Amino acid sequence: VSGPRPDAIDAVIAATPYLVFLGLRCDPSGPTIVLGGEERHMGDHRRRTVHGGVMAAFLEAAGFVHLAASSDPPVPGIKAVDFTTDLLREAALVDTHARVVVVRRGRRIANVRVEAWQDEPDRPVAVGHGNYLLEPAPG
Amino acid sequence: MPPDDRPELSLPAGSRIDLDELVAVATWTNVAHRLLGTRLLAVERHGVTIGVDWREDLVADVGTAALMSGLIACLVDHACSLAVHVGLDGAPAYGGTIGLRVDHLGPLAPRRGVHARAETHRITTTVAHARAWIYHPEAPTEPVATGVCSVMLRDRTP
Repeated sequence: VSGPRPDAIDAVIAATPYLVFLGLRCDPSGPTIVLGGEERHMGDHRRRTVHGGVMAAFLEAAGFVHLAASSDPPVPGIKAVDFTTDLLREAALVDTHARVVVVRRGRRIANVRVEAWQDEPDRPVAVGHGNYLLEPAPG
Repeated sequence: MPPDDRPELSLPAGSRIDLDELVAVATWTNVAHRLLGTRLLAVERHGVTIGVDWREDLVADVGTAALMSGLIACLVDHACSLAVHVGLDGAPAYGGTIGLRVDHLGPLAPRRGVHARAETHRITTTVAHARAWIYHPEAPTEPVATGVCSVMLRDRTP
């Protein structure tokens, strides 16, 4: 089964103010979730690299977006329970792509792995994994 | 420009930290945190406290109006990095975060900012370890998230 549709990814981003603040978007050719290579994500101004905290926020957000955009019917509350990020390489101020793999989606908990790269898909700049709570509809 | 409404900050006795530089890295030269409006609230011998105010554009959901959980990761990395920086007491060895984990202990409250207090509990020759507690300013003893970071250190031998 393929991942979520690009329009569903865009809809989740548009409905989440912090993800709009980060400037996330969907690259429909992947589809991947993209963090734009913008100066606003810079941490170290001397090395001109993406702030590690922004990268971690991006990976956690990508897992959320993927799960929310592939939920049919929609799941009202998807919340990260824990998320772990390994920063493998310095990330330059260019577009970063995230690819999400749902390892297991249970009734209450989903486990995901996320891989982020810039120019070369086989050369990740960061990897992450986490558990998300899938909150059922009230009532 | 650097903000001029800096809170009253003092360094621990005998500290070799450059406070102006620490404030700059915490709040201003780091563009991501400049845009979040991150403030440096306290400096300890091996730790710091930083804070971000609630803002409409940082929420997860317009309905609940609580800050997005992903923002916590951003604060954990920054607070832990600053904790390692002050723990090194002026030694130019900070090399960058290599890994972090965030545990979200419960939902964030609507329309509330967050503080992150971090401390470095081990500094070896190659790696420093730090941990962080995230809480609403009104309830510092009830963390909404915890985090840990591993920070790479540069060679300090001359």
